[in-house]
Amino acid sequence: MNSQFKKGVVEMCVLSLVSEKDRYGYELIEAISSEIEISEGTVYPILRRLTKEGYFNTYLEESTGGPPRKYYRVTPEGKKASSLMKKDWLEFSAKVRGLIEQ
Amino acid sequence: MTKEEYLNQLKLELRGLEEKDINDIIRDQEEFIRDAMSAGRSEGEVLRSLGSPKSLADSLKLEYKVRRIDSAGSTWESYKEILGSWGVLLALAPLNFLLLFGPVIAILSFMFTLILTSAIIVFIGAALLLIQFVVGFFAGFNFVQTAALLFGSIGVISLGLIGVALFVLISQLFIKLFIGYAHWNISFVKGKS
Repeated sequence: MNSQFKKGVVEMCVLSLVSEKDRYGYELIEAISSEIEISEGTVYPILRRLTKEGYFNTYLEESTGGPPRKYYRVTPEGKKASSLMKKDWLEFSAKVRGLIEQ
Repeated sequence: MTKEEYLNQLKLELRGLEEKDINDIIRDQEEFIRDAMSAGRSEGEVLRSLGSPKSLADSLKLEYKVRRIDSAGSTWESYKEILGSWGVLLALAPLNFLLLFGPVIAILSFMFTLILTSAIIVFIGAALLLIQFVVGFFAGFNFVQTAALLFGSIGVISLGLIGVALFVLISQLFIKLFIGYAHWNISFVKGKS
């Protein structure tokens, strides 16, 4: 699959998964890579970018038997972006589907 | 390579980014390796999946620099920022060199020629003005000659100043083009990598 295309899709998945509930990096990598083949290195840059854009806040939380993990929490702005992106994607993919299944 | 060696190497390779960003990356990478290992993967396998510290650092640097350029405004600081980022891009994508420098060098040399020509014209005008006063001082002022030379030199100086004004206009246009070109160039490099 085209890598630029995939990056956009992974970004949407990350935004959507964090909107659902607070998550940490590896959890996201596992959730996404169980469904789509991604290179694990792409997720952290996306997380950092979305945080910088104000879509996520981060906080540290103790993990069992180890140093604290960084959790990502969606902001109202991120929530808005997520639902907009979801709506766009569903419309778009329905149209593409209509075209290729003719 | 152990996890510590990998992270140290990565830190070295990330030089050039801001301290804060480097610490952020190292922290995240460390957490990733730890979590992957507690999910049952071996240290060696996790590190291999990340690629070499150098290639990971390169792609992270590209990511940061591209973001910088994308969010650059139109202040002088951001032009400097763009130039610096381009330097990094250049190092990461050497093939970009011709693409990058062909048009830029062409425009720069055009602007250089223009400013040089204007400067020479202004200089000639000023020299004429000076000469007429020196000559006038020693040989006595002749009204017609003095007026002709005076208006002649003013004309020449104006011509030079028009050149300078043109230069300012063109360089503004060039800066706009430069930003547009930087954006295009970066999406090109991104598309390739």
